Amino acid sequence: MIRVEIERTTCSGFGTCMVIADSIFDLDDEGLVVLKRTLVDDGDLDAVRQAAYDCPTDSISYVEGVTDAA
Amino acid sequence: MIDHVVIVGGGLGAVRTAQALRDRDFDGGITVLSEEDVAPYDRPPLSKAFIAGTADEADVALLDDSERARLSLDLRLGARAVGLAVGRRRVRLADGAEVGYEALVVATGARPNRLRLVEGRDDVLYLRDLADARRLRAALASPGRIGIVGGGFIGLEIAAVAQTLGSDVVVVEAAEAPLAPVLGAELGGWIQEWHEEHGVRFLCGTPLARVQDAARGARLVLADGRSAEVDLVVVGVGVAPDVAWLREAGVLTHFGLVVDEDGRTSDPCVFGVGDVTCRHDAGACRRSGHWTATNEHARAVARAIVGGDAPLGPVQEGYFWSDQHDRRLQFAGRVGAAPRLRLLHGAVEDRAFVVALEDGDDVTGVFGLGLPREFIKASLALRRRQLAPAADGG
Repeated sequence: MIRVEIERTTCSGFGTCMVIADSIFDLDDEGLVVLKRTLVDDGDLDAVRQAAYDCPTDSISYVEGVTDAA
Repeated sequence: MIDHVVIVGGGLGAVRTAQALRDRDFDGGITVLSEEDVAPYDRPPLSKAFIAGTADEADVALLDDSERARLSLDLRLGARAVGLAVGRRRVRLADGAEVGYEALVVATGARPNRLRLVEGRDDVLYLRDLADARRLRAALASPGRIGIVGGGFIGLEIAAVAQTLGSDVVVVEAAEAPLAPVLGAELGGWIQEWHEEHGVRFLCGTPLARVQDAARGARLVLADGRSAEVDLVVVGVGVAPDVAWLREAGVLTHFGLVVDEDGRTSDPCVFGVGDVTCRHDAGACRRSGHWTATNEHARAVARAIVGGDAPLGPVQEGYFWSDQHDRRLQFAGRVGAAPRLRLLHGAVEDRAFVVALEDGDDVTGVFGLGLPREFIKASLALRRRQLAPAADGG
């Protein structure tokens, strides 16, 4: 599994992550990123990577190889 | 198997290419030849937070220590590529040294067009790199009269920062409105009104004719006789890639380095990423020039070099943004020849709105000012082709 991490102090609400994967990322009432789920399947790696690279404020990171129990 | 990739350029395209190569488990050498004397940094903040003084060098760095370690780059600063021997697969540097490659990725970006009318003046600034941004930031810290030549994104971003920091700003734009060549005259007109509400002045619709010495500073004189006296001139009149060294090497160039969808050039060992490229397909030349597109190019080129599955496609074709005053401008799609605008959210007079751009029966793009969440919804709908044109009168 992959653990997705977000940094709301740097997020400025571009929403690019939500356009890439709206099953994982959303924007809250303040217009800042929130996660719909923290752990995602390895099959979503490309989408998570792209969301991280394409975030103009570099507010998304991830850890690979996480087990469900972690 | 390729086991040495050389990347020419030291900005976003170079970094994203290296990252995409490692993400595909490429374990060969990656040499990055950057003409700059500083480690790779991100350019969008230079014309916004950096010149405003709210972001510093550390905030714009593209690589932290752990990512540098993961990428294991041979990063050579101050290394300017000036020549290429495609037969021997070698790049020649300005100091005469040569660097061999198996695959070469050109990611050198574009340079600001120079304005002949201000050649030789010492009160003129351009904005391209960190050194330019440091000079501009220092200049804007002491408010004065700023004349901005060019009402494109760079010009308007600088205008907004300068006005906010207390300068008196006038923008000179040859088209009928700022951004008119990019977004059409109607949207450009709305954006102009919004800037005027913030105190920025505009002289539009006539080209700049000359720049002469004034009693104090410089006088910008338009072809119709209107003029403005300023202390500092900032020029933002478009950019163009420097591809002469590639053309001389026999690689096909046009406006930029000509590439296909995968970033391949006319030479099987040479690839292009980002603003240095132009993409030719179906008889059309599409220039690059946007941050997100550079990321997409890098992923495509890494796949062309290493192989494997195709990367996810562009999620927002033609996406770009700009931050001006307290608002964000966002666009996705393309702009037709004479776009009709249809309001989707907000109100134009509130300077907070999202519009669809329509061309015949097509919705070609969406533009938003100051409503990022509504823009995202519209952008998703555009991508899913759920934005019906206004034929129903809606």
